[in-house]
Amino acid sequence: MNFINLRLAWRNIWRNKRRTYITASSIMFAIFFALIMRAYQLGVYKNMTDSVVQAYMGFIQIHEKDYWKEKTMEYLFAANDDFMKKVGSIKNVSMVAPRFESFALASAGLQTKVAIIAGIDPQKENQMSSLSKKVIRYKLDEKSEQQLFDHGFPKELISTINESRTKSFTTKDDVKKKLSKIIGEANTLKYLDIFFRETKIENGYLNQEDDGVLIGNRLADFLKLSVGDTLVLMGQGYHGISAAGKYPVRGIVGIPNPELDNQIVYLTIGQCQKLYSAENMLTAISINLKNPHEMDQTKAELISALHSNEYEVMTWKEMDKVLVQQIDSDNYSGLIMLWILYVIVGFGVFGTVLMMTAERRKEFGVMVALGMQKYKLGYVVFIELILLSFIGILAGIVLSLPVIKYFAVNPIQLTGSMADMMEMYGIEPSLPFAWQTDYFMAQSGSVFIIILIAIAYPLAKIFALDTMKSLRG
Amino acid sequence: MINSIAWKNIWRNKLRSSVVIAAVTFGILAGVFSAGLMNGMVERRLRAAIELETSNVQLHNPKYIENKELTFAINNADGIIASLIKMPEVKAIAKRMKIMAMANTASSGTGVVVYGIEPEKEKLVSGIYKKILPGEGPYFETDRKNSIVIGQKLAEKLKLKLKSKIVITLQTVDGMMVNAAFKVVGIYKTSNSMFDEMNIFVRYNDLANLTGFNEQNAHEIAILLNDTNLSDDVAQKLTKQFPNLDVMTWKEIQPDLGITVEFLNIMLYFYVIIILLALGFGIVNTMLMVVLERIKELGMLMAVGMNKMRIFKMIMLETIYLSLTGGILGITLGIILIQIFQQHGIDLSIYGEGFSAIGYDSMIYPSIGIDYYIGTFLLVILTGIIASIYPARKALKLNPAEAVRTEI
Amino acid sequence: MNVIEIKNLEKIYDGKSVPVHAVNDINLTFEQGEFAAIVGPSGSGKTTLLNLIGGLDKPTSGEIIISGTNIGELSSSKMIDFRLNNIGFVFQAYNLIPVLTAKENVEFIMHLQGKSPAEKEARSMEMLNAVGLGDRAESRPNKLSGGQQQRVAVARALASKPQFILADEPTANLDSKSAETLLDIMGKLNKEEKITFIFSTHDQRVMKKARRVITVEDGKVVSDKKAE
Repeated sequence: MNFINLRLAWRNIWRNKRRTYITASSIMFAIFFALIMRAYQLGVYKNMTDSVVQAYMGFIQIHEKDYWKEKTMEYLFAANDDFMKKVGSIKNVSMVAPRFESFALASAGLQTKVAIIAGIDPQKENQMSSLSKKVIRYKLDEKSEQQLFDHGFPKELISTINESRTKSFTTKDDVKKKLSKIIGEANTLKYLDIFFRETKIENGYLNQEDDGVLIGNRLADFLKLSVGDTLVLMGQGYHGISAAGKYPVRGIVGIPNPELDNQIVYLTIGQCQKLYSAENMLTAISINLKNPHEMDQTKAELISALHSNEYEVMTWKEMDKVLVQQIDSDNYSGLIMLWILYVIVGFGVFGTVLMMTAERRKEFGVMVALGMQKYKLGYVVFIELILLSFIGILAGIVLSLPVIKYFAVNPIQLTGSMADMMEMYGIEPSLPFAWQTDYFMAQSGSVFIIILIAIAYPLAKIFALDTMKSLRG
Repeated sequence: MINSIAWKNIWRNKLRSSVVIAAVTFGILAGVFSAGLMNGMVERRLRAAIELETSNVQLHNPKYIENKELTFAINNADGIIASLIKMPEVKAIAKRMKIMAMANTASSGTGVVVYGIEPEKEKLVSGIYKKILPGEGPYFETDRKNSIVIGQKLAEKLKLKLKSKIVITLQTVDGMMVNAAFKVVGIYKTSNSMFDEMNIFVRYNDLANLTGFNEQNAHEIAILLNDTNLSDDVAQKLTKQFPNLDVMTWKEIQPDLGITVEFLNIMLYFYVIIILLALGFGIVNTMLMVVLERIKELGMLMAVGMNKMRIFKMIMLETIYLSLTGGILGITLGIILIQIFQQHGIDLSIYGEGFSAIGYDSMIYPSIGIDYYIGTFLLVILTGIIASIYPARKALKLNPAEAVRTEI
Repeated sequence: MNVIEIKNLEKIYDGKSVPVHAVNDINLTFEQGEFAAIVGPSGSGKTTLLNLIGGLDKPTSGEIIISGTNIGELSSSKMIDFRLNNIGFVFQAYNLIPVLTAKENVEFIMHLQGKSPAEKEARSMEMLNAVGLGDRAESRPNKLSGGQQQRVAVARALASKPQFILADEPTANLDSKSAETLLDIMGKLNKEEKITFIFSTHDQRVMKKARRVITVEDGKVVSDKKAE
């Protein structure tokens, strides 16, 4: 770019400082608001999909054809080692885990509840969803509350912890980190040892040949089950045979998705097949990917590798359409709101440019009279406006960065009825902001496009400039 | 006088004023219309939820809320109902049993919530009977024992048809598990597919017999009021009257809906305020130009004795008129659009599955109260006032002598 | 040698009620090195004539031939380039680009011509020195007096080495002392550098300095006197 053009443009911007500030501020405001809103929305969506995909479903599943629609015992399939190897050999597949999933009534004592029964390969499942890391080892319940209190743990702190709804912890570090946030660092250090001692629960993960179960934290609360207690499962097995069994509870796991946490019972796949009288049968093979962005491509590869229409290969987006559509509709309404905002900012820029070109008509006329081609003049004015919008866009980005970063690192933790609502929809009541470049680009780009449209008309007027008339002023 | 000068001034630079007015019109129209959409959706959902799911107020045994166990019942429910029905606010009351159970067919099974209802009284409280699909009736019209009404979503899932058999497995008061076969006498469909999948209805007597439940008792007493707005008042009265019972309004029963309704107004105004804020920049900018352009004229006015207060008032009025012209246009167009779409509805069934999963109808009939239009109108005036302050102050800083001399 | 030949030039404006005959059948020639004033009362058509010569306006009929080019045949875009390389302008209201310094204003035209930075630098300083403003090169127009601004405008017009310079009432906004200085500078440039100046004016003092005075009334040349 020519230096004098740039200089001309830059100095022109600052000819009317107030107008430049106001126009740039309006762009900044739109960008700032848009970025904060997108960071929040995309963060929530990621949170939503993570609690579904990573914690449980996997990116892709293979079932017997039509299983997903019906989800009944009629659609079981047998998968031998060859089959698993074939699936595992696809390039983008990082993990393959067999699943046997069904429903049963889970009861303990007088409590009964419908539970999701998941038969898993403990080792593979662990690799896939880090299930063993979700095993709860420290938990605040009525009993441990009393013990804490007896050993000098202040009652206010106990109620503070209760209010925070963070009452289960997986590791010592987890306890330390979360407690520091809730009751402060000093209190945490002071009472940490008592807390470790009094809230510790003996809790384990499943062995490959285990005959016990892992249950979700909320389900354990509901059924009033602790480690070592017995859980009774009752349901309907393969070919309508009744299914029933007694299982010792090996561990309690905290699943981020509250809906699942309220219902899930894990047992080894062998035990599960036995319970439902379906030896060697599976309901699904769950697959994790190295690169999630190539999900659709991998799906196509899987279909051609299996080379059979006895199976269905589904991505999580196809399996959880409700989630996808919920996200989509929220996403679209958010984007519509932003575009309304952008159009308004566009009007503002249009107004500014209109005033600017009207004011400088004479100057433009002089330039053309002096021998400046109109397209060159248009180019200089264009650069001027682009610079102006960049100032606004950049300011908006710079202003929003610290806010977004802060909430990306320290997610907003919801409490009260808002949290209840989120949990009802199966979402963790925490709102981490998304921290990624794509929406910065997309929103800045959108604003930029609107600005281009807004300046098109005044620019076009330069080309239609009547030198004589504009010189006369 | 100042009024008419301010109004005429707006039209001195028609194009520039038109741009601002168009921006305000567009912004307010978009704001009002999207508010109408959201409000329409929520209103419909609210009406459906109260009519089909929650009623206005429900009574439970407090322990039942914690733990939906068969034995945590309201004792002497019939007696309570007899006393409640005398309250003038109450339109209808129904008692229900409500327990978790497994529903099995020959091929598959799933968890459900079984309601034991007295069909004739239930009809007065809940509109589920109106939601029976055509040809999938007759609801509980015959006296046949062990009849059951299920949702369409569940029927699909378990491959059930009218007159199909379905086995319900549940716990009795003694903690025993029992099975009983029921025959489908009705399939309903509401706009909330989650509800349709979870909830099935049988006769109160059948369920009580099956579980050994005391027929005087109930898990739930649902109360429909003459006016939804009375819910909180009635709930308060009932809490005093029945200290042993848990009294919930629809807002507490469906906290998501309660929150949505509570936050809706804030959300709607938040939208408009953000829009007005964005518009504010453009208005300030324009008015600033107006002042700078008219330095000479304003100086002259001051020189001939127009005091600063009047100048300030004139600029402020001009700003308000400018914003208000757009505001009124936007609101008017918004009202027209909302009226048109209220007649015909907007079909969002492409996204229908997602909507109905969270309980919303995929047809949207936008609607919004008159108070929102008035609120928006006032906010537009407020925006005009705020946006005028900076340019008007600028005008006041003029020195008349200097201003007259200024060459542009 | 004739720089400008004007043949049967006519310009008619669509007035509100009746058409206005701003230029009525004018025939003129200008030679290299002339220092000519076009005078006449306001509304006589002198500004229109200058605008037509400068190619800012199109004649209703007639021809203007500049160094062999009939400018009536040029497209508007070609005309702009032609102006850039052949015609210098000085306006009544100076019309410097307000955001550029004096030197940058002078460089601006050379920039449009695509001259090298070294050439621009050298020539702009030369021109500013020629109008006696070498020490104000870095000042913006609003820091210069009217007379100084107009001298920068002359320097700007000269910078592109045009065939001639058109100046429409260059002294109208100036006090008499500045006007005199400006005319002295223009006269000196005309004598020493053989620059052709054609300017309109209604100022008696300016007329006296001119070596050719063309009087226009009602769109017609009523007298054309050359000083000896």
